[in-house]
Amino acid sequence: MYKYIAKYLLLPKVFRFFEVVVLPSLFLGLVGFFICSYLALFVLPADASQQEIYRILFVHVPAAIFSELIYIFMACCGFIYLVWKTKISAIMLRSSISLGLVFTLIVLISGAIWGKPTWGTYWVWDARITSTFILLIQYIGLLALRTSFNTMQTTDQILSIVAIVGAINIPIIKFSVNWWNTLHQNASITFSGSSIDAEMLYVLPLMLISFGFIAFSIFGRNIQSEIIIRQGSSKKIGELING
Amino acid sequence: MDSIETVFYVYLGVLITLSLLFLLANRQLQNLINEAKEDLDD
Repeated sequence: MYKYIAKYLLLPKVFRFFEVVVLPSLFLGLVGFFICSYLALFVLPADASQQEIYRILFVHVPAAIFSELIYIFMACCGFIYLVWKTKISAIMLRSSISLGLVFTLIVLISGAIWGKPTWGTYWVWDARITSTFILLIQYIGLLALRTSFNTMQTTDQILSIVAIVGAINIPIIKFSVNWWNTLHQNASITFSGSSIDAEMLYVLPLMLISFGFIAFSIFGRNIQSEIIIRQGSSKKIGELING
Repeated sequence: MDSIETVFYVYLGVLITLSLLFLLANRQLQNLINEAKEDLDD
């Protein structure tokens, strides 16, 4: 099983795979984003209590989901790297950091803009917002660690350990609204149903998919750069580029 | 602050941020490839 998977994860194969899929993925993501933005801004009705500002939900929630999913993904990559020493998992971990950082920034800034008219303040140190802010600091820390050590192997090991330890913050973010009294509302969408009207809700998964395609294209380009950095000699890089 | 213009600018900001991130990643890759090609030519 491991050997079967490993043969598809050889670095040149991964490099060529992303060479093919990155631009179509970006195109699909951008088209999806424009369609969803049009629907969210001009087609969906205004909310009864929040009026127009609720439309921020369609970028705030997907960004929040991705900021957390990317961190879980990084922690899994870190674990795989520490156990099996697979280069590709360390490369994937490194390639996700900037992406996670940007999604966390988007969620915090869009949340602050949403908070002003609905809560009366841009920022409050409640559990959900504070734990998300800690996630931002974790991403910044990982980004700084990426260039802090002399050898690639040491860096990968440290990044993996920090990513795994830091994953404790993800359930705290998720359940903070249930564990503590927060200004941030509880989850609107649960397994038992949604408190958002179906007429407004359908744009959310579409935007989530669009974000996914855009994120995948950026992730792919980052992976390609990481693979080139690890090739060592220009001759090897030449072979990689020319196939 | 609670108008549709604000929401529009938030969407625009998200689009610009993600596009910039892709452009930066793309540029980094191109720089690495160009450096390797120059080394090979030498």
